[in-house]
Amino acid sequence: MINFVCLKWGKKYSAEFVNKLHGMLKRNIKKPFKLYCVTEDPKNINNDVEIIPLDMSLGLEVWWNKMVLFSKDFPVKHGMFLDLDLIIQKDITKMYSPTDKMQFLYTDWIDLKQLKAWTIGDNYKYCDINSSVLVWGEETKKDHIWKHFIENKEKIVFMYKGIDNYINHVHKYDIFESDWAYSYWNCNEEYRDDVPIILFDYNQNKQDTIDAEWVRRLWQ
Amino acid sequence: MAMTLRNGPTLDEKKDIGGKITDVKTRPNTVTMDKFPIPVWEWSRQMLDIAYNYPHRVEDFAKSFSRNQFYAKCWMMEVLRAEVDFTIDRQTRWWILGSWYGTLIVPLIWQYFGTLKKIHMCDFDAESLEIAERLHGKRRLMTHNIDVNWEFDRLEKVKTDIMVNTSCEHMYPMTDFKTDALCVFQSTNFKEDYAHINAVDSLEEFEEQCNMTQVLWKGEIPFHDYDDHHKRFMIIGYKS
Repeated sequence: MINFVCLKWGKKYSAEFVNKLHGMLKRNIKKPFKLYCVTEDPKNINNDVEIIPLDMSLGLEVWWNKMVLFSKDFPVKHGMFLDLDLIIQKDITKMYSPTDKMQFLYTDWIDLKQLKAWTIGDNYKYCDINSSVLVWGEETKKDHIWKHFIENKEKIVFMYKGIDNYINHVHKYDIFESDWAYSYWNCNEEYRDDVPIILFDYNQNKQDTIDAEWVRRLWQ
Repeated sequence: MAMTLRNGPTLDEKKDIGGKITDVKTRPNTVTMDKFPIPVWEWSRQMLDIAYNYPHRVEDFAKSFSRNQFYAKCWMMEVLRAEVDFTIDRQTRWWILGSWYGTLIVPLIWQYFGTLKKIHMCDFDAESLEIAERLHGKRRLMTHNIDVNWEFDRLEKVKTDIMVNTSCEHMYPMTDFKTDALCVFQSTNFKEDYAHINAVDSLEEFEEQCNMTQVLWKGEIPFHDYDDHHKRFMIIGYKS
């Protein structure tokens, strides 16, 4: 059994994104699986999806809520996190291979050398990992990251624009070995059928705004 | 196999262009040259060194001795020497937080105070420190590749006389940073630069943020030549 987890916070994503994520997993994952959704608003989410109530008392906004995954108290002890702004088009079961560190995507779909040059003097903006997909297991050491975050929440939110930059600069992590994903908006807005996961990050417009046959076929 | 530098030669191919600022005393100057507080002619070869060994750094290095930077660093030295602390001498210990290349501040400290101690430079950017060592020579520098924002505890234990941070706008507020040293802090209200995660609105706000128990001096200067509403602020004082 593979556990998948997603996060729906506020109004940015509707229940449709969660339900369609479940649909994509059903079509592409050959093993038994369970999808959990961490949310404060479970309205219209399919009954097949198990709801994990989002702890609003933490006062976190937007993507920072994803940090709850790092807590030892997070109820899903091993699993794979998936952002809602992505399309799955192949079996990603083999991505689930936990190590002692949380696994992130490596953003080699962007020119990292160029990014390094652009961020000279502005180092916190440099980031070469992406948390759209994360994998952890029982042995993954991640609670220290959660503790560091809670202890330094104000400083972290002040200095880093998101989780990826924070983890990239402060903590140790692992990256997935193969090319499992690419970023649609960062790769000339081209559809590639050979990559299992298509990300729609770096842009306010998500997959629901793209009028293309491949989106209609895959995102359901 | 040789390690490849970004956009540059391999480490094995790195060329020593030479011409450190410290070398200047060994060669004769004219009277006019002696009037320059910093031997800027040495930068000719340093620029070549950077262009050859760190081509991706040329633009950033050039910015480190812009008029704006000259103004800020010279202002600091003039205030320190003339108005604040008359006890600064050759034995004074200096730590510079967010030191970058130390392009101006290091030779200015040498020029103004002739310190005999190693100047400690702290920066998150390892390559800028590497270049700093090539520029100024390792003999009179001690570099620390640390992220100041996460090293308050360590830096608070440092025994130094002066703690300089002319990059407060790039860092988390120094409010809770504790030190017995004389603090010389600068910031700006230039918020348009994305790297300025902590630009302040006014000298008063900066003073509040610095959280000093004794302010010896505070003031502001224009940040740019081309507008009059952007300022650079400086607060000098003690936090203990």
